Amino acid sequence: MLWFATAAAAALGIAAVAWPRIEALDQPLKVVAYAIALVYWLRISGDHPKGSTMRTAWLLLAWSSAISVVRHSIESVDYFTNSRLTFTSFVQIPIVLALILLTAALFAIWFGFAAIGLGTRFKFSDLVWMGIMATLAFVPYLFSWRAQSSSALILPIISLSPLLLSIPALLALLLLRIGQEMGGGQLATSLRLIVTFLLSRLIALAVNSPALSSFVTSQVIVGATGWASIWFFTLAAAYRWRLTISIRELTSRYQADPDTELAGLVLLAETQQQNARK
Amino acid sequence: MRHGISEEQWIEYLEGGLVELDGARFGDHLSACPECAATLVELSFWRGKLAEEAARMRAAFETSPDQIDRLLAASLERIGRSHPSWTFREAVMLLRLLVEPFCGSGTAGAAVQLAMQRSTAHGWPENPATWDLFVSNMSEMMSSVCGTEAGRLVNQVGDWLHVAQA
Repeated sequence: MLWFATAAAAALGIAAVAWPRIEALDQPLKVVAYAIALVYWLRISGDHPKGSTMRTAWLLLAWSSAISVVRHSIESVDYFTNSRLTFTSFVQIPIVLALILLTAALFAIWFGFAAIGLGTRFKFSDLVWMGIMATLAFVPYLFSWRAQSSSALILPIISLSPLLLSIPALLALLLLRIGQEMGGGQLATSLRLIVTFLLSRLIALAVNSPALSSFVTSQVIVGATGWASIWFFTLAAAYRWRLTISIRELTSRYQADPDTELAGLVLLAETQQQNARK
Repeated sequence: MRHGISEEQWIEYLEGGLVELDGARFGDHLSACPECAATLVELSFWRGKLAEEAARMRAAFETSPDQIDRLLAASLERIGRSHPSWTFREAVMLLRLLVEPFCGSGTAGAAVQLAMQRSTAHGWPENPATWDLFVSNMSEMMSSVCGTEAGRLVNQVGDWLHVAQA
């Protein structure tokens, strides 16, 4: 269902290039996506011990989702009341807050995995990719800087944006490395979806710069990635929650019939040993 | 390395892979050293068992789902009949396999390694008391990374696995 929503959002984003009226759906869809993610992140945080780093990470993601719901709700109301917000308007406050919380959550995820030794080794290619991503994150900022005029209160907040865009992008690489080191599993899938969310959002922002936005191809890319990226965040939450459900089901099966479950586990172990010997 | 014979040389000898000169020297040593002769008997026994197991598993790979079900039933019967005890190493492997589909083989491996470091000074002691500590540490680690449900599962299965006294 969520995958369908992601595909539909991407299709609508592309269609909006030709039919601008579709844009009316953009903000409400984002509110829905973040609201679903919020529910999942809250449930997931409840599956971790109090005070643990991962619980903090999921709670920060929940807070980031909640603030994003508020932000897109404001933008939605603003769209339908025809009083377009400018770049320097006060909606920047929830944007920056959500980014700070997202960044803090990504750091917490990293610390959580680093505690067991994952995500602490890097290759030279990682540094190259980090450089590319940092540059991409600064592109929209550089183009928009000249267009700014603005109030003294909002300006410092806006100047934080490139930093807050580039740090999550760099942390995406870290999550990708952790996902690889995890060697598969449902949790790794969830991390990869967070990475997809961060990267697709970065692509949308970079391609949306004034230098490129006049091309139809870039409009299509921005439409697809801009509309769909948030759904990857929701999917990441759904996959992480599915992990909890799967483990809960297995625990119930072990409680009901431990012999059968253990026999299956032994058979799996024997099969793996056999594969290793081949 | 014991008596100047490395593990690799033992394996090569068993596989018949040692060159003629080394093989002859090895044979001479075995006839003179009762300790190494006993080791050879033991290794030959386990090699035979492994080959037998390998043949059984190869057959299992070519079997239909029905036959796999029968194998599972046989495995279940073995477990039920003998209330098996596991070595520390086997039990650790089973716990690791248990969490791999959820948290990944890398995460499971890292958690096992850390839990081992915290539970034992060194080595793989076949000691039920150490096993309980290991399970508790492993459970704590899985709780922190994959959630309390994962920790609970590790605890439950860990309690259920009976680790034999060395």
